[in-house]
Amino acid sequence: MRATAVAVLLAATTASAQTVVQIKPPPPPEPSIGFFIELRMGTLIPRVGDEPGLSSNPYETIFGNKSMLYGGGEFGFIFWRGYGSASVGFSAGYAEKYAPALLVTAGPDNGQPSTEKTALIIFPLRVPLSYRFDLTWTRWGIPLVPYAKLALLMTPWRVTKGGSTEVVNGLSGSGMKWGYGFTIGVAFVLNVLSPQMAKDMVTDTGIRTTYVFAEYNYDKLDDFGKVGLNLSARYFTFGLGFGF
Amino acid sequence: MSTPLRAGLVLLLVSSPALAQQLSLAFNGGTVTNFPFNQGSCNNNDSYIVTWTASSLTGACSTMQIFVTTGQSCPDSPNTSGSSADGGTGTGTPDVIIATVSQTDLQAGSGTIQAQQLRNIPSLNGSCPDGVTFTNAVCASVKYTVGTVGSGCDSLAKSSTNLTLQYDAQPPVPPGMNLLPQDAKIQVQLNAQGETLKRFEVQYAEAPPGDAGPDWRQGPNLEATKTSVAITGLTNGVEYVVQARSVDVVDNVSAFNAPLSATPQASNGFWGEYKAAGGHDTGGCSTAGAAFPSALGALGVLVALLRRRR
Repeated sequence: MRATAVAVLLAATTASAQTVVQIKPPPPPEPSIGFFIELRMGTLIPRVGDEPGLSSNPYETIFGNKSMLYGGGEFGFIFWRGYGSASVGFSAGYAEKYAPALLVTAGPDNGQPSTEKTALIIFPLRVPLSYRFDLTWTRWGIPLVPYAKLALLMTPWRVTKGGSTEVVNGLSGSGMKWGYGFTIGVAFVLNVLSPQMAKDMVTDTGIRTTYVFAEYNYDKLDDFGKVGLNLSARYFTFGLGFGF
Repeated sequence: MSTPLRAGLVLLLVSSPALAQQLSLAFNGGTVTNFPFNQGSCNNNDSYIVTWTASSLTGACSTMQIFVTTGQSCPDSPNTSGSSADGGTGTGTPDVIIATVSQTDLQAGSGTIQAQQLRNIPSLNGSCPDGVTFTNAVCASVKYTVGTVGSGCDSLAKSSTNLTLQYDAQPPVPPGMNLLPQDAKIQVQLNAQGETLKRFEVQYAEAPPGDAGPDWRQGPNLEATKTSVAITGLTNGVEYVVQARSVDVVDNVSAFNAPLSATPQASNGFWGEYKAAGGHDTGGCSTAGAAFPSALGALGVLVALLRRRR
């Protein structure tokens, strides 16, 4: 009994005399699936004047060269990770532009601004399939992640005058437009700015990456080439994203 | 016991009953504290009901008097002579005692007094004059004893709620008005001039030729909390005259303001301008809608395939 106690004591003493080497555990691997949430803003001018047969561009006539303010959000589900990652998502947004309606008279007031406001309001919805070349960050530690998206677009739209939907010759100024769109962009991973805070966020909130991004959107929103109101647009958006 | 401790205990014993006295009044048990009425209500002999509640008035040593005074705040006791020397407001009009609650009834904690005719408030004294506004307060007071039995009956409990009866036989001022001619309608912007109103009433007519008077039609009413209303269904290019009047909270009606004129004019919004430029779209959901479920299905298949390969 006594011999055992001495042996334990000796062993402990020896251990305490050794240099303590802490082995840092490797970072947890990226999960095979995940999701992200993004908030974005931008401005856009719909290419209404691209419709064949128009005598003038009604968007320019009413709103001038001023852009619509766009804001939206996106939820994406990362279903594949390999050489980069792929995701499918759903995005919803809102854009509007207000301006005075224009008088239609036989007198000198014709074309002058009315006291009534008119608005073009659109609700861009999209189902994007995206690829992110995020090895730049996960493998090489470069905080820039390029990405590209192909999206199916569906955009309810509405035109108001004096607060209610404008009706011309019995035709209501509202409807839905379909199309497709491409997006290319680059995200800057904010984790690089404060690795410790990034680790804390993973623990506390489950957010693995936080990033800001800038992207260029090419939206072809003309019912797949049908002649009609053309809400296609080419525009930049900027935003903030969280990856889980 | 130390002197400061004893003094504190005495102070606590003396002050506690005073803090606990609670006497309040209400109009028919509700939460409204102002009861406005007009000349019609006065002439119709309409009445009001007051309820009272009292708590911790165990030391009450007098009857509780509920009275109406000419002021807007409550004196300590009713001024039955109308003179300032009597402790009242001294306006020369005596207060009207509408109920006396006995000490026994006070112990019930609450009660309702008999309905009182509005025209009997002190400022009206049975009459219903034109063009004036009076506000009288409804008050209650009772004396009670503080401390031990045998102390003086000289502490006073007053109603904590300040109820007022407001006689308003004064028509409001006509509203300020501005007209905005629009497409087949005129937007009428109205604003109250002075007192709080219930609504505005609008009339309109086509501008008459020559000296003929307008053939007024009733337009939309506008709640006083809003500032503009549209007269719709008008003909573009036709001149219209519009006038409006104010209605206050007791339904006194002002005179109509001076009529203004405006001519609705056609205008194009974005949709109108688009169609005028030869736009082909007819609105509504397009036939391309079938493409969406198809493409969504294709996307789903693609995702499934990629997942399977993995």
